[in-house]
Amino acid sequence: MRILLVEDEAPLRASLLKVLREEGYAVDGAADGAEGLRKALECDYDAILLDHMMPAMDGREMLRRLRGVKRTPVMMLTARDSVEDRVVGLDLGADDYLVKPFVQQELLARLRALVRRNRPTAAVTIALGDVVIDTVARRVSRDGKEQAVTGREYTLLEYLAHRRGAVVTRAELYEHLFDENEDTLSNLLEVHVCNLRRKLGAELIKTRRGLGYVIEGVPAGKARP
Amino acid sequence: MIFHSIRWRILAWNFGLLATTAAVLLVAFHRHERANRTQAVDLRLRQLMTTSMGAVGEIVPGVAGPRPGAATPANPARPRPNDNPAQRKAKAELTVRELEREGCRLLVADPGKGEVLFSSLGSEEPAAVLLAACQEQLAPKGEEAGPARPVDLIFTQGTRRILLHRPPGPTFVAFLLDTSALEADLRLLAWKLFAAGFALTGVGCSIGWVLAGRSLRPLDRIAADAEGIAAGDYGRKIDVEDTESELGRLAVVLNETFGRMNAARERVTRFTADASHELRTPLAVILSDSQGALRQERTPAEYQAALETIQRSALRMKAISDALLELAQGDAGRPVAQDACDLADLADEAVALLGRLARDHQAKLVANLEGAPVKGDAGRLGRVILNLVVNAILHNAAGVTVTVSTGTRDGRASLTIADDGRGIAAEDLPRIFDRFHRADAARSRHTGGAGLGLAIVKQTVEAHGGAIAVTSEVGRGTVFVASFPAA
Repeated sequence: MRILLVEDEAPLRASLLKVLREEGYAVDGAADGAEGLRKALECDYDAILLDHMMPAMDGREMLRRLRGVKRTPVMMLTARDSVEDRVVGLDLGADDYLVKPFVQQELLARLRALVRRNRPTAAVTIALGDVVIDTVARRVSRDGKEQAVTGREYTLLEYLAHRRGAVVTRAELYEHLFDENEDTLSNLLEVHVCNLRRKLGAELIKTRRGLGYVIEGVPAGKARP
Repeated sequence: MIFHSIRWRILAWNFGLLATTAAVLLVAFHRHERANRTQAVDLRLRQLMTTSMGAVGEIVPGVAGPRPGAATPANPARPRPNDNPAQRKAKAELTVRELEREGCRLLVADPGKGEVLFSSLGSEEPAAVLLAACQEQLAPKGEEAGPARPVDLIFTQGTRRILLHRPPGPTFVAFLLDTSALEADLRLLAWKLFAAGFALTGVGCSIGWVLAGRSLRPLDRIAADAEGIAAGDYGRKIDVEDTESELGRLAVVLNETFGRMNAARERVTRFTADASHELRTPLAVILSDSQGALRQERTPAEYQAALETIQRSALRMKAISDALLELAQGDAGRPVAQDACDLADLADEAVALLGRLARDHQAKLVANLEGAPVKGDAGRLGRVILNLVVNAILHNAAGVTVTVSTGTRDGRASLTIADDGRGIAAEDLPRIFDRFHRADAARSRHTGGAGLGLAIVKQTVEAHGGAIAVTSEVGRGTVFVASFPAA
């Protein structure tokens, strides 16, 4: 799950980047609207957290320009909470609105909801045979027993589970699981897949050599009637 | 109360005026009419008298005689030759009957003796009553009693108009015309006039009501608009059709007042929004960092980093709330201390204090100080100088020269802080003293300012009875000039 955080307040940006990474998101930061827009257009993020008041290009302007091109889910973060501000933000195409100062749990829950909304199914649990993924608690259980997975491993599993039945390329996985600071030539992906197989069974994630990885099954959005 | 309504009051006045005018006019008309008709009756009576006095003389001999007991017959008709007295009498009686047919009655009497000599009155009316009335009319008023003089007078008695004719002599002749038909006519006319007056007043009042409503309608509209504005529709304007009329002027004045109040309200709203924004941003950092730190077990170094961030944010909040407090106290009209101080000394101190900052930013500080004694709060004036000089250093690129000068000219102490930096854009210039205004958000955010510094500077200068002005040219530099009354 790759997120873009556009926030001009350096301490807040650093703090949020850290928390989101700990949650297992791949997060890129941007210090102003111009940088944010460039990154948002360059890469397909799963969600964008966008500060409202910024120098150079403010959040509204960035959102307006982004919406001309892309439908990436956007959550506005703002210290302005007048109804008018919220209405303008939402009308420009923001998907959600969170007023500063916010409680982290709420930010994370709203972010999960935002990402879930763009999934084929809005179900909070995904069952893959004996493996069940709880997307709210971000926990995985096998035969009813909880399995400890790292944030990155969880994100990888959830991503593949949402796309089950389809082969997901390594490039796509790198794009969505790793942020711009990580070395995409490393074998990190193989390490995570290997760990998941060890924890959840070797048959869950299959390798399509030369293509990528797949979890077999019927895609949730294309379930038979 | 219904009479608190202006429209009803106007109607009441309208009604009063109309009713009085109508009453006066119609009563005058009625009186005029009565006088006219009575005059006609009197004329008729005189005609009748003229034509029938001869006949009366025949019936009652001696009536026309000059004096009682006079030997000479006065009636010129009598000595005519070939007159047959019987014929004449018959002719006279015919004349009297003709008079009766015309509604005219005759009464011939001798008031001295109280004796009725002839009467053609109906039997239902005692001649005595009339006689008494005639005697009363004939009674000398304020004159000395003397021989009765000839009298010819007309008066009204009951429903009769009476012409009383007394030739020289004791007897008189009264010609009576019944006026009850005339009176009935006049009563009818009175009723008609009353009805007409009533209708006229009614129509006038209706028109008045409509006109009052029409001229008061703008007032209703103004009230409705004002209510709307009071209810929160602040952008609404009172519709002004005619700015020259009284109501138009009222609307203009109200619009101006509401406009000023709305501007003040918007300033307060913007100020509150800005203040809450400025305070919320560091608060968000504090909340985010503390929650992040507490999510899981951290190393001491991580805790320390989090605490340092939190402290920085808290200090920034403190600086903002201090600035807001200072502004609020200034707004509340805090009295200014009246210490004797010299702007030159204060500027000297400020330049000394800021030497380190200037070196760090590779700025050059030049002091050009002459005595400028003022009365005021040395601490606050010192902060004004510090604020302006720090701004000049931090808002410009390295290598800027900041010149601080003081002096006294024309009885005013002046303080000038000039830089040769990048200048301020013309569109920003009018707003730089506004609270929370920042010409360059990113730059001042890093310096920790909230956009309150210049607002406080302006407030402090004005609290000291001074004025501050700024001139700037992009690429050439900025000059702030503050002047105070010299001590």
